[in-house]
Amino acid sequence: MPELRLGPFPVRTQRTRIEAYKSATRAAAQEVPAAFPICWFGEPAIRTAIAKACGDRLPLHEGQTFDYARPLEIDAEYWLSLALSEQADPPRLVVQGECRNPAGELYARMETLLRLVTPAMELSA
Amino acid sequence: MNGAVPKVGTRLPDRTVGPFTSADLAAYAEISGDTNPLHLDAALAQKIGLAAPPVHGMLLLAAFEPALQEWRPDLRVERLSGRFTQPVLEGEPVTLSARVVRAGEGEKPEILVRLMANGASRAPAIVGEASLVPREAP
Repeated sequence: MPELRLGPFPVRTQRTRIEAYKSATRAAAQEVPAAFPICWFGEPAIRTAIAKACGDRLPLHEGQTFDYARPLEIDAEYWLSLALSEQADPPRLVVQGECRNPAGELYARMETLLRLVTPAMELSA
Repeated sequence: MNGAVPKVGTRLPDRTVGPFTSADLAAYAEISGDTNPLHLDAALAQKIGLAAPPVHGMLLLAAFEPALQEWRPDLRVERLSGRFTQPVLEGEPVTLSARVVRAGEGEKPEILVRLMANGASRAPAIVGEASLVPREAP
């Protein structure tokens, strides 16, 4: 699969969602937790794009990186651009994301590694 | 930096999290949007050879953040990464451990902490790193 560039998608750091995230992860931070942006992958447009790239294979989350140029702010709007590429052996989808504010300033980069398996495969990772 | 620069080799106190229940996984799935059925469906997990659904790797990686903040509230996470090398299954307690592997000096020193999460398996479930920098004054 050639690299597929998607977005930018509008994403937010709603206080209520962050509170719910902190409750689910037992986090106590006053600021936006560093791992919170993974929740943006649940946004329908982003989720659909990743699901389409996975096809009928199950994605197993194999690795994740968040790299901040500056901390995210609570109740702020950002734009998330994604680049999806596939590796063959083993089958893996690499999702690279870049988060910027509406002025175009870089806030964070993220990389997600998804191992793609069929339900009949044994886990060997 | 408000506190002293930690010495390389400093170990953070180990922290036990979990065991995670199916309700915990469902709650995380709902807020994160990661509703991959593998984490929620025991029958599907069994199809790929797991005795129970695996805990979301991101739920485990996120568990390091409060540990780091408790250790050094004057620092914030600038980079967080993890490889999910072994599944941790629902019902398993998990031990989080961390060790300082690099400690820079200067005005904005970077503290690099190696992270490891161990479930019931002897092999680590997560191997990761966090890069910490001084928190900016409000």
